[in-house]
Amino acid sequence: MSLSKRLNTSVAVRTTFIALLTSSLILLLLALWQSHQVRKVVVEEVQRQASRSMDNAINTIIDRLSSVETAVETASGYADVFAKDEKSCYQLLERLINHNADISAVTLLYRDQYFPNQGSYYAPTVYREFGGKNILTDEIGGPDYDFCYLETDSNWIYTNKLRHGYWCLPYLDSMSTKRPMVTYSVPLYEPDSTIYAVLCADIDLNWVKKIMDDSKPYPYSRVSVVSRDQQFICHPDSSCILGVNVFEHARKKGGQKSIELIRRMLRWERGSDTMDTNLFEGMDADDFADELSEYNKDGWNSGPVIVYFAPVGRVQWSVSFTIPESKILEGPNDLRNNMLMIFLFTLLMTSIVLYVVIHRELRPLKDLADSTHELAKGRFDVPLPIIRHNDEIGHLRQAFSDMQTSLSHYVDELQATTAQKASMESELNVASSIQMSMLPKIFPPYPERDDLEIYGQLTPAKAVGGDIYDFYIRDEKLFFCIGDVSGKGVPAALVMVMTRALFRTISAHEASPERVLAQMNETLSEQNESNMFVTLFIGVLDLPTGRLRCSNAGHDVPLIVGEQVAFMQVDSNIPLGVMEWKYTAQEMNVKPQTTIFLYTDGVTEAEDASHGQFGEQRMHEVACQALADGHYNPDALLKRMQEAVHQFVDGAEQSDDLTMLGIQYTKEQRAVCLQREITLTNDVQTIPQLAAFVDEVCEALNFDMSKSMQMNLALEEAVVNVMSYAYPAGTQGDIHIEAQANDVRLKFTITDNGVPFDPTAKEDIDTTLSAEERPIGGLGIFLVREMMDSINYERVNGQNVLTLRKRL
Amino acid sequence: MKTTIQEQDGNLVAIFEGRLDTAAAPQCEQDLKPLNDCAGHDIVLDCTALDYISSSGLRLFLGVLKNAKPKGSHVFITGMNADLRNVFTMTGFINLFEFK
Repeated sequence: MSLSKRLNTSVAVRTTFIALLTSSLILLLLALWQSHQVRKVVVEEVQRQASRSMDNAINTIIDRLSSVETAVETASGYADVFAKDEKSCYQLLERLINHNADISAVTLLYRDQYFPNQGSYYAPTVYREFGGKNILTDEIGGPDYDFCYLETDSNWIYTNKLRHGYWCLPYLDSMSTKRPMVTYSVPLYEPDSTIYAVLCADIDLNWVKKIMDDSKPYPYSRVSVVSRDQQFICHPDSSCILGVNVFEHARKKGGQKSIELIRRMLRWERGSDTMDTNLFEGMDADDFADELSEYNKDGWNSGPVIVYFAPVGRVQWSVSFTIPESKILEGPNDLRNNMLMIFLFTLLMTSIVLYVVIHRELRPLKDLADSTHELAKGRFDVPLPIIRHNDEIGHLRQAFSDMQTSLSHYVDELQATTAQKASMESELNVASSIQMSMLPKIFPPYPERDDLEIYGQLTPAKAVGGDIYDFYIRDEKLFFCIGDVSGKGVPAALVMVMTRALFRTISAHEASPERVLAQMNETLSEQNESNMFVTLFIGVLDLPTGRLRCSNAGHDVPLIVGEQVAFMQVDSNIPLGVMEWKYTAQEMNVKPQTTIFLYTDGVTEAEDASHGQFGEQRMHEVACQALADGHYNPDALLKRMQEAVHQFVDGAEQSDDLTMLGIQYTKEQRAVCLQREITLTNDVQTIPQLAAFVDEVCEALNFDMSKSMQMNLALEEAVVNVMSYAYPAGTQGDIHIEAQANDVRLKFTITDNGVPFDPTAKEDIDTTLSAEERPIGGLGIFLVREMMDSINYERVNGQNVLTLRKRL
Repeated sequence: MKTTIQEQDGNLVAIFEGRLDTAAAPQCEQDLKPLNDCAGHDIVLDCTALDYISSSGLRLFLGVLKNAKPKGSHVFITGMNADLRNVFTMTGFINLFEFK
């Protein structure tokens, strides 16, 4: 896996990488800064050290030179005692050399012909045997050996000239040792102040080199000493000592910068300079042999060096230490390298530890993720990884555990709820079918009737709705209603069922719609704890006459589609179940072929997607169009209306029950083929007259004996009822009976002026009771109903009008 | 309308002739009074000659039955034509009486 991919997929790698990067940067900067600081400190320290070492060396040199000077000066003080004699002068010399270890040779240079027997130049000398401890004497003067006097820079001449002690320029020993030497010479005076001899003490300059080497600040420092005559007294390359001019050397080795350095040195300045090349390179000493190989490696011969230099005033020398910069900075560099190594190691270790720790710490997260994947597959019982630490991951695990528990509960609950809902839905479906089965749904409902066409439909918005319509015929009266229960769903459906039951029960013995409404209202108001209310329109259409009585309890006003389209003129009153109310009724005559269109607000308030409503205006227009097209029988009108509503809502969800009921009165006037009438007083003794009348009618219609008897029975029972109840005991009145027949049916109309009395309102008797339980009365109306096809009561113009019909 | 009460074979027999309608019912009720004292006798209502009966007549029949039953007397109906029997069937009276 590539790093970039690992960075994206592993927190451990990413964190480690970032930590590594950050600490690397910080440590690197720190190392650079520290290295710089250390270098500065080290360079300063080296400079201080070099300066100190140089002062030491210079002081030592001066001390040694001074002690030699003092010894020689002192010796010169008492030289007269010994020097005047050619033999005793040796005592002076030996004494001097014995008392001063630095002096390697002492010579007395006598004036020419001072001791006549000794020739032209006498120069007794005492010296240390080179490489040994013996003090030897010699005489180095003489005609063949007079260099001491002849050379311009010779001690004799300079001392003579200066007339005081004098350090000569360094020189190489003329003897085979070729040692670098320097000589201090003091003149010896005659009483007349003429110089008769010069006392010279030769010093082996190798001790200078030794002093320098002893005082050099670092074993690898190179030392050099330059004399005032531009010669090296001391130089790592022994071939350079007293052999080359320092300027020449500098020009050859280092160019302008080196020359400048030499100039400064020969001006006896004190200071330091950094050179690109080492002027003072070369190895002459054996004690460097070990270091040679080591330091060559580090580039003694290449790379910049720092030269520290200072003058030795007394002898006008300039000493210098040369230290390669690389050596000075070796420590800091080593430190830097070590630090870098340590940093690298630390980073590496930190990274490894960090990676391992983070990886280990985050492992539970991976396990948690695996568990969660399982959880997501629906395995709610999947065990979560055990995390002992009570840290963030522990909290996360706890949260997951809680989630798992509540998810499990939730799903269980959901399953239970779903099951419950499914069972509830199936129950709702049953409820819905029960509810729908309560509505008349077989159309046409009265195929045998030619005076009525009815079509109704209810499309619930939910499974069970609160809309209601109902109709039935009792005693040649069509009772019909349409209504809407407030709210929707099951509660509305329950109220709807109750409403329908009340309508049926109450209208079974009450033909006035306003009274039916009043009684229904009473019942519904009484038990109305849920504050549901019902808008209901009730109509009672007297089928023989086409007289319609209707009463409205706050429902939408029906449309009358007849000669024209108009809303019915009815009082709206108030809905049922609100409060006690005196409902009013309206009466009108329905002309044949007229259709009464009843509906609920599901039609007028049907909404399209933008919440526009279908409205009464559109409904009116649809009805007008239907009338204009001549297709306004209930079936056609409802289908047309339904289609218009569907088109209007255009697929939007149905918001309310959609209920419509159409009733068309289609009675045709038929030709009357028989018309008889009779008027009786309210005395049962007139019954035989009635019997004769009925027999006459039956005979005219060619009824058989059996049918005649039925007619007799029905008429007698009806008339006796009227006599008994319309005219209370003791009152007199007439009963007018009219028989009328067309080619379809026979109709008896019984009219009286008595008190209002509706025999049809009587409840039916129970014919299954035993003799003991049977009441004596109540049989009359029952028999009328049994014998006739219909019985119909109307109170018209202060008269009771009872109509009995029988199909021929 | 004519109602005759006879005793035949230990039974009290009421013979109806003509129309038993509401107008005739009061007289008929009077004529049937002897049947009130019927203990130890069964009652036979002979409807062979009865042409017509209305609810008033049915009430009389029911009255006879209600009177006779507690006394342990049976009330039989005999000779009823189909139309009348139809009326009895309609009203459930057919279940109350015994027919011969």
